[in-house]
Amino acid sequence: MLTLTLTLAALTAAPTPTVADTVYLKPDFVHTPEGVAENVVVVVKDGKISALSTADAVPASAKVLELEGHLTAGMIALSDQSGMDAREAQDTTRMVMDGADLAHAFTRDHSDYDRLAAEGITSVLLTPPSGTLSGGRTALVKPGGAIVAPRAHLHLSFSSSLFTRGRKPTSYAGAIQMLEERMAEPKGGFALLREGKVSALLQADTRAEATRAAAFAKRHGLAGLIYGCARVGDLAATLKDSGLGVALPAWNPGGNERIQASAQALHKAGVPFGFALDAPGRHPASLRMAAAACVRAGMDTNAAWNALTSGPGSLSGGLGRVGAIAAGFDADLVLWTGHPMELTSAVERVWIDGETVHEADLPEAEEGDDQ
Amino acid sequence: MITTTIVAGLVAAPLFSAPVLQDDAPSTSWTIHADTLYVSPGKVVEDALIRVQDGKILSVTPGGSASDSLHAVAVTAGMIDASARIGAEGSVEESSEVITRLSVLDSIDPFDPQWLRQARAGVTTAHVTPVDRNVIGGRTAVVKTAGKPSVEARQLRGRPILRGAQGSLPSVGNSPAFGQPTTFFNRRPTTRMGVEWEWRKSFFDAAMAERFPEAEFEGADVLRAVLAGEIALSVDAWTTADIRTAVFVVEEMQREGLGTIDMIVDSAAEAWIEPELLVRSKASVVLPPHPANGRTNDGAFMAWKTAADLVARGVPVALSAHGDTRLSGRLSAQVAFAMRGGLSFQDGLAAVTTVPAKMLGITDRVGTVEVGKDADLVLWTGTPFELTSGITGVLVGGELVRDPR
Repeated sequence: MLTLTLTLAALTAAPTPTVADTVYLKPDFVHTPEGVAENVVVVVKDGKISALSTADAVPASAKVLELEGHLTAGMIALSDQSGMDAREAQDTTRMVMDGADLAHAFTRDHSDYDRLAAEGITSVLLTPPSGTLSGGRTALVKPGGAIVAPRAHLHLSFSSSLFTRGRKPTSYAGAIQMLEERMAEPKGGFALLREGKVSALLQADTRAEATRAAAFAKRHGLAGLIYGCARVGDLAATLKDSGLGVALPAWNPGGNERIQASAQALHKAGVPFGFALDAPGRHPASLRMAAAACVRAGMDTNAAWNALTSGPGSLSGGLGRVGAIAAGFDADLVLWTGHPMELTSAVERVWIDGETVHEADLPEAEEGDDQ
Repeated sequence: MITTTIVAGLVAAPLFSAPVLQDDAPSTSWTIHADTLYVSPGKVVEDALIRVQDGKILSVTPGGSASDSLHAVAVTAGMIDASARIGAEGSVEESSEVITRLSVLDSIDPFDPQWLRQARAGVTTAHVTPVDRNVIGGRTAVVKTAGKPSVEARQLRGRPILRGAQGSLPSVGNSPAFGQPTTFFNRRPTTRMGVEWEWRKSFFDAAMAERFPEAEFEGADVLRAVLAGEIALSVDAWTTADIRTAVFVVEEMQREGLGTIDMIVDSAAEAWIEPELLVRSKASVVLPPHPANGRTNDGAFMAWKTAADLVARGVPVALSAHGDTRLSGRLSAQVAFAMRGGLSFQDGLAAVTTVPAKMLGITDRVGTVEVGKDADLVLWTGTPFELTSGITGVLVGGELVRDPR
């Protein structure tokens, strides 16, 4: 099934491409948001996808990488704490930190990111841990250090997890009143939110909390996404009406089956959604499994894959930059041995901004080395 | 049994179409045949046909039956729990002793499965209060127990009620600070005496702030509205000592010319000891569920005869089940227990329908089976509230939440 020989021969023959070069990637299959296509050449220049072409349109002198397998956009996790010291990502002395940026808690060369890349994850949205009314502004980052969006969302919590004995607020009504008071402030993080300069990450664990969060967003005309509720699919119609997207809670083996039912309901209603990962607490492999479980529950394969790529691409603050193989997008690419929604398929190679950041040490590759 | 045959609805019933399901929304139009219909306390129609259309009662006519109708031995209005104590987790803002502006409505979870259990046990309307951990804990709300899963859709806009508590509950968790206070639980009060002082101080300060604007504080306007009788006050008070304190605070405000408070004493387990206090204060009373061995919260002793004693003295009495839906503790069983203590059937029915409806200001919608009211109905296998009778069917807003067929 694998003929890595050819690929590796091509790889060895060509010098490692630099960002300045134009590289023509010619895999067996290319996954775009519309579906899977054959005979497509992905043109990469300056770390970006400059065009999608066909084999016959490639200039004779061009540097073509013949790739065995499926080429996809890198996956995106909608909530993550990789490379952050949890103690550095939350200031427990105050409930509202609308001026805090998660980007400052991010350690660029942390080993967590190698593990993300090895699973085909090329962007993660750093979010604050629960426990505050507003834990700061999220950041969309890539393994290797690039910050795609430094202030993607302002985190607002509607979850009961913020109620700590001995600190205001201790009630839903109190929390909402505090948020309303902050929304009226003339400047600061909440003013930016009100003015639409930053979108909202609305943390809500239950359907009732999510309903309150959606009502709050509607009251203030906020764009953004709701995060944390496994049964959010029951609110699909409300969410479609609100224009909000959804980050489904992180999935893991033995996890909540309601997440798949919610994904189906959101997909049917046309609500954009993606999945949280919340690594390093969860294994990075669980992100792909979350979508695969949706396929098992009856979701269209392409829709499930888009929930890992183009869906979160637009919700994470990386709109037009990450989440798709399309002209103008960052060249964040993953080469798989087979269809990525099949869990037997493995990551062969990962590019971020056109640069190879990971190459799998597959058993076959060792044999190929002999040539 | 009182059998006043009346025609509750003289509406010439238009050609009534059989229930038609529209889309996937549940049907809210039915015809129900009752051997005995309890229209309201004291008004009974034998062999009654109740027509329900679009969630409202369209007509009530004696005699006859329709082939497509639901049938029950007895039908009453849906019950109202005047102190349901459910669906309000995370509802109490403890950062201050006196919270007046917040409402429990923001904490209600319409998805909580407890609501359906309530509805299926015949409770179709619930008065939800903030958890009693403050002296004054915020505004209460009245909601239907079934319907669209949205607080707005289920809310009944009755008269506004502010909630507070006497007794030991407001001081639970409080402790004096040694050295520097570290949390807001290092706050007063830690005793009943401190709770009482907070009550008096709050009202007094609010009234004074009207004369001295520089003394105005957040929420004082709400307290003044209570003194003016525009907002009713629901006070949790179990023991006779706490009931006294609640009454004395109301009387003090009146004596000082600060206002007349319209009070509902909730959980008044020991009201039987000094019932004249409640007569004198013109307060309404909500009784807590009957305890297993007499003793309830705060060590209060509740006698079987409590409801009967109060009703005999003209005190409006509503019963409550505090969220219990077990056969042995649900609201219909509380009526049975009160009847065991001497309450008449008619007053028992009133204590879970018309009395709480009036207390909560929602008589235009619920409490009786009359034309134009919400179709909140309970279908019984025998005489309502008897422990030998069961509930076979329940409608909330015309929607069948328990199907008798």
